[in-house]
Amino acid sequence: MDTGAMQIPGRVTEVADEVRAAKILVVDDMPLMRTMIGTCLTKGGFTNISYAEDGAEALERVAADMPDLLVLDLNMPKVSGYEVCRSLRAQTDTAALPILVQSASETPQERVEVFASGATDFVSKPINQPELLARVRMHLENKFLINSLSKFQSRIQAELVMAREMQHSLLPDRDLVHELEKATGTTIEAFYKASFELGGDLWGCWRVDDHKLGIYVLDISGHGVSAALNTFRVHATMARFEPFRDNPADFLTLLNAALQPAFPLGQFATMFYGVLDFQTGELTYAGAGAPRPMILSADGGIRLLDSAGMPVGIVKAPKYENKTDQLAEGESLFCYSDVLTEAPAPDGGFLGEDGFVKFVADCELEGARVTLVERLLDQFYMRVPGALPDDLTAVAIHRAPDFAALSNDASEGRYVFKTRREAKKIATRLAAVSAEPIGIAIGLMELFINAIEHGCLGIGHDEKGRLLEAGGLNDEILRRRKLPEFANNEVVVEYARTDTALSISIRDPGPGFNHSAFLSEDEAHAKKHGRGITMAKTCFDEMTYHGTGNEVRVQHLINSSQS
Amino acid sequence: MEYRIDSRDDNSLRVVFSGDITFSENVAFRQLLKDLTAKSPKACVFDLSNVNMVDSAGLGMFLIARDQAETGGWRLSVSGAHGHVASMLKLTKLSDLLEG
Repeated sequence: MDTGAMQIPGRVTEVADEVRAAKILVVDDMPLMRTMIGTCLTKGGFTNISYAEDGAEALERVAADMPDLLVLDLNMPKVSGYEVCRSLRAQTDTAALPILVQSASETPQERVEVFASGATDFVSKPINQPELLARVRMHLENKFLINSLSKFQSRIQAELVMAREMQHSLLPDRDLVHELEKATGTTIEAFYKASFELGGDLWGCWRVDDHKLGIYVLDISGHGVSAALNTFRVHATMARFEPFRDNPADFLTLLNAALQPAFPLGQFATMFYGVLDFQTGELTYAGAGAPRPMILSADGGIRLLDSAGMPVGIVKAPKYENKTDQLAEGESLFCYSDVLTEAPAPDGGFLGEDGFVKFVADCELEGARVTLVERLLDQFYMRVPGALPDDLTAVAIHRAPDFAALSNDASEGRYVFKTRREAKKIATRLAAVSAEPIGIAIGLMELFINAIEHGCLGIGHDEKGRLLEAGGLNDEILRRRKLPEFANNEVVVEYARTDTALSISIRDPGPGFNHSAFLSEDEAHAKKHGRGITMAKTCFDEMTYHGTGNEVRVQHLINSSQS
Repeated sequence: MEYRIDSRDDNSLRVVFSGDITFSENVAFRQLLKDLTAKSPKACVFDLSNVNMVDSAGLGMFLIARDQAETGGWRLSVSGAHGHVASMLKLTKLSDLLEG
């Protein structure tokens, strides 16, 4: 191996072959110089050397066949070395080409000019042969090492993307979730977002017996590839215990027994597993240290489940216990990962469990129950901008209200309300007399919220956005309602129902707004402001504004063959 | 994360932590465990009074410390946990495991 001429102590040998075979272009107007430099490089082991006599030829040769490095004389007639440098640096494909400039200049001012014109380095004239070789080798090594590193980084990036997609495929797909929703009379909201690095979160839901639904969330400790690989292991291991899915404590015990020997010391998974009887509402669950899930009652009250327990994977025989609770019609079970409670609060500390519960309670008021998690996350991202430090999992099971019990035979009616809580009750009652309660409730809540906040309390779009970011919307609503100019404002809702249609009008005492903009097909506008109104429009068969925009009428066609 | 090791007369140690104990403190923590093993104490208390946050990686490091204590024949306990850290230890029942 002819490495004798190439070895310099302390230099890497990884790229030696590439360096040896590098294409070097020597540019000098003096033939003697070209010969000297060429011979020097050849003796140094370089085999691929070409020449140019002046700046113009140099640029032509670079354009025709890109060299790996340029040795460039500065003082040349016609096109000087300075101009060659500047010209090459101005083009993207030669912007990073190593250019070694020969200069007889010693003055600092001239050195500055050399670098300013874009040279990478320079060798002094008269040529010092060992110095020339050392600098050429060093710059070629750097170039090839950086290339190699960039390629490696791109490849790893691509592989991480693939791995993240594989992780996504472990989660329940939309069809499965829709089937479960239909079979169980629930609406399931599920959001998962892996953090920047590969994550270790997982959630799942499945049918258990005829009348039960199982749901779990888990969070594997740590980051990176090992946590991610464990999600696959855990997922596969859970499949072995399908016969035990109806007993949460047993399920966790068996899972732990299988995983504990395999998890490295210090690695574990916090977990919650619950089984809901969707006919009776009985909820049986067991916890292994997951953040405490919430149950939201129909009137917005929140209680926390006791999910305390030893995380899976640590000890051989932890004692998991089955606990029971009730998820009545109209109530929701909400499970989430701790990235939400560990978010920074505006005052610098953590949101914490208490802070997050309040956050959820505030969000609950702002729209239909079945859109709770989506709205909550929208606001969460507003308050915590940027990438999240950990995976985000947020899953809710919303048990449908007993719409049959809430509906009535009246062919018309009138409601008057001021608060969002009242609005929710009325939206649910009106939804109950429609043929598509879930969609109608969503649409009505969007319009009711707008009527209250914009119409009754004068809170504009931008202002609402600012309040949401700062977390002060709720307080501002309560404050305004006490002011004399707003205290008596109320929303009036009238409805009429026939066999074929449900018509509803919503009127507020506010100044109205330029509704035509929101009802047009202009998507960009819709995205920035009235996303809620645009969404509401899709919930009804017809939606029209009247007055100054402070009255909206919607119609919902009842397909008699469906109800 | 910073720590200070206090020796007591009865051959027990107290490690007083401050700051956050998270994934990024991995290397520092391992160094601490080396230091502790070298001292061969009878018992050691991790004082968390000045710690505001421990993430899942931090809990993992406590578990490693506990394992080392068992191998080395010394008693490890945790004291002074408050706020978020205390909630975490209680939720995961690691407070039981770490004699908190």
